[in-house]
Amino acid sequence: MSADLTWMILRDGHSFLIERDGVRFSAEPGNVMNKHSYKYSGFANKKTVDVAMGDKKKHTVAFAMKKQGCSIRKPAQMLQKSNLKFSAKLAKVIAYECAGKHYRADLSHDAIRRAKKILRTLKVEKKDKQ
Amino acid sequence: MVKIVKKKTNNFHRFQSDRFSKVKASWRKPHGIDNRVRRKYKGACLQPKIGYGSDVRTRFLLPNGQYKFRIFNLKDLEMLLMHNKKYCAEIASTVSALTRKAIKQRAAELNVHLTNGQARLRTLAKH
Repeated sequence: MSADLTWMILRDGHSFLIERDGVRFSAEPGNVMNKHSYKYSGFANKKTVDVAMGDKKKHTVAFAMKKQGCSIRKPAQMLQKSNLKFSAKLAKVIAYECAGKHYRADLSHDAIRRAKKILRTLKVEKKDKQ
Repeated sequence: MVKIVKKKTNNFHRFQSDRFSKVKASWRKPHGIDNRVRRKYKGACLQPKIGYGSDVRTRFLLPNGQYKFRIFNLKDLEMLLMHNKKYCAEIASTVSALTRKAIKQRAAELNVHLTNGQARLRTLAKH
């Protein structure tokens, strides 16, 4: 199924879409900005990037890319996950995965921002425990 | 940033609501054929119109410069991770104190501002 057709079906509503107080947010995996748009949609795009909370104890961020040629009927298997450790190189690694490999260069900046924000949440958690 | 300007801060009261207790203050547009308010007589009370509306750039904007987004659970809150500058969260009235506590803690981690972070928790602490 083409990306455009998928988006035409999804744009009016899906279970991950929340429309409230005049705004739309979308919470599906693979949506880096949680925005309801063709560019950021985790379902419609054949190539997309997912950044989520990884292992809290090991301080990792779960970074995932869409598998190529995976059946659209099995969305759970679509994302190929890998754990990235928080380090000074993290932004470079993500930039290489997104832009360096010519995968989704347009998502590179947002993916790095998201990873950094997740990193910040871990820092606050740590502070609370002390 | 554009300064938030409210052109009119007091409410529009329904015509003659000050005369009869059965006529409540909530605004109703007068439609009578002889009505002096409808015909806009000099000194007649003001009626709402589009000109009183706020600038589009500041409409619905809270004094803290953010827009409000109502949340019911932690999942809703997580969506604001990438929008914590533009949107702040307001916990819906139906949410229990236990969930509120969890939301408040997570909001601090996500750096999302809560408009009513103390609500209900405050009354719980009193008892």
